[in-house]
Amino acid sequence: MTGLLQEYVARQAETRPDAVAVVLGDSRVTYGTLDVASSRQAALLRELGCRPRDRVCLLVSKSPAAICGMLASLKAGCAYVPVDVENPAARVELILRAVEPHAILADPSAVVLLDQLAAAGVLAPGTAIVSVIDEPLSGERFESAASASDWSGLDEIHEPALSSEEVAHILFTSGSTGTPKGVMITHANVIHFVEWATRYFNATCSDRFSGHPPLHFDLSTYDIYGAFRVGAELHLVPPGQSSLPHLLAEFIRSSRVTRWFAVPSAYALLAAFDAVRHGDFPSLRHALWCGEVLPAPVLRYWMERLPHVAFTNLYGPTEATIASSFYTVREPPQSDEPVPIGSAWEGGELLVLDERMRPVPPGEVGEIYIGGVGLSPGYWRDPERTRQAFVPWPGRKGERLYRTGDLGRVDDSGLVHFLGRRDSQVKHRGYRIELGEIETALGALEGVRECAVVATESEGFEGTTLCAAYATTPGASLDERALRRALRERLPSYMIPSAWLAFEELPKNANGKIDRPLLRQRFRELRGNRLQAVERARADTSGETAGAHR
Amino acid sequence: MNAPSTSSRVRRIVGDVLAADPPSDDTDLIEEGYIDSLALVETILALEGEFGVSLPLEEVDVDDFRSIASIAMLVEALSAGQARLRLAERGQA
Repeated sequence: MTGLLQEYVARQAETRPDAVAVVLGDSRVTYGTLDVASSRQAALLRELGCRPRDRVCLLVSKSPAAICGMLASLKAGCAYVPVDVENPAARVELILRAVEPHAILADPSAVVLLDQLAAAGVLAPGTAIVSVIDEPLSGERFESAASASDWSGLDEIHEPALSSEEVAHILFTSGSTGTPKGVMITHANVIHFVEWATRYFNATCSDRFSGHPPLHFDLSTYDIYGAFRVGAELHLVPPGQSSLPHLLAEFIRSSRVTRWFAVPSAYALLAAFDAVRHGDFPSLRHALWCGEVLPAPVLRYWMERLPHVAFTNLYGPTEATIASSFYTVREPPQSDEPVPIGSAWEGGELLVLDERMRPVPPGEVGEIYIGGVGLSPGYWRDPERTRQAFVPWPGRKGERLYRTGDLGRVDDSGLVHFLGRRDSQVKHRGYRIELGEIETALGALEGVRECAVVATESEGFEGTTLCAAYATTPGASLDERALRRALRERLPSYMIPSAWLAFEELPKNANGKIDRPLLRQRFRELRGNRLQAVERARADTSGETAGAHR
Repeated sequence: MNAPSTSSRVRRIVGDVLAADPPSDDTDLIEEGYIDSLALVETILALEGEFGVSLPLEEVDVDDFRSIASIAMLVEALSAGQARLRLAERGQA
């Protein structure tokens, strides 16, 4: 078995140097080129003073150059930190201050951001900015120290001998406190998953993997290394196409990808715009999703149109590397209940435990814990949060469990079902309510493109106010009143949200997930405005006699 | 003139304020989750505007707002009572 991720590429370069590794639009890079270029770039990083275990930040849009930069970082013995160039500078600043990168790999998409970072004084004098294109990069306040043309003449690096337990990359996820958490992922973490997935999905060199998620998102790790493991082609979805339903469908069609791995919102988008034809995507063999619940009606839409494709639900947080459990759906779902998250792949464990960390009986709700080889060593330079999330495994000396904060239950056949976030459980009018359940029901309504249900505190008798934010499909004339009516046919009355906001598109955070704290804020404002209106109206009428209105 | 009944006017107001259509005049608006504390106040305000009655919040009995039927009864009682009161006030003046 491979010890380090870059060895996947080296192996292909040795046996099939002319095979295509990465494709983006018209540009294609072979395994031979990718291996040599990344080795030379690694030599440059070393010349710039990068030492094993240093961090290299990636401010590069999704491209073959970005992937070459990842491999170069690994070959120099460094951990790479992919950062979304669309992130606000303030958030990138937090990440840079935390990881103290020795080098920043950048392309023209990062120039504005780098200027802002330079202005904020974050670019320490020891941080080398490396342009991954041939031309140097410069802004008003920074200049690159080197560019791609500088490494083309260098000898390939002699790679440092490192253990597969070394950190390969650090992925930042949003923390509930607002400070992003850097999840350290080792070579071994990724390799364990990739080896399992290669066997399970029966991947070969004739496969074509899609690259839909952005590179700072942990799903992309499987696209990249899963493809390289078998010498397959990785077809990157051009960044601008990711959220345009018909272009995205056309990408799947024309790239002839054999496996499509995307977040549920991408599936929902294509379904909402009816962008998938019957028998579409004839090359596709596997469709996978992870990261959120895929609404059953959306899955049904896809499965009914693509009977030749196997659909697999993957589940798992970044902290447990890509995914910890899987469930392959055999038939289009009959009911609107979400499909199970399934069971752990070999090497991992998925447990549903009570608050004293004892397994709950089948059918009962508990918290999902993950154990095994996918577990990250923890959060970058944050022992406190690491201790809280990665806890000792009762009865297993020296082993840890990751506490997901997700609720689940095990069914009679041993499959785990996801029931929403632990912290999304609210008490409303005395009932214990899972916001996820309301959200699932709302999301299943015809014409609802995306939705989120959050709770805000209320001073009234109901305890909390249930708030629903939604966006409709184009052409659907759905208002709050119609949605309420439809929801009443599916949910008990105490689960009907009382505050509603319509959006063109729901606000998202840096990781592309729905920004729930922001939504709660918007609903608090809405409530505040309603209260003010009520008070104003009462103040207006208090001076008058009651009969003066008519 | 064919004046709409009190309960149909209450039904329209409640529907507009709550953006909802309770299935019947006897539906328990609170139990069935149609009305929360803020919506209750908004409903009261709208009723005051529509019927020209005064419903001091501190005197409101939540039970009177359980259904469209009970709200209609309350509004009719208040209209009659407050009309008598106004007549009495005018008589004194």
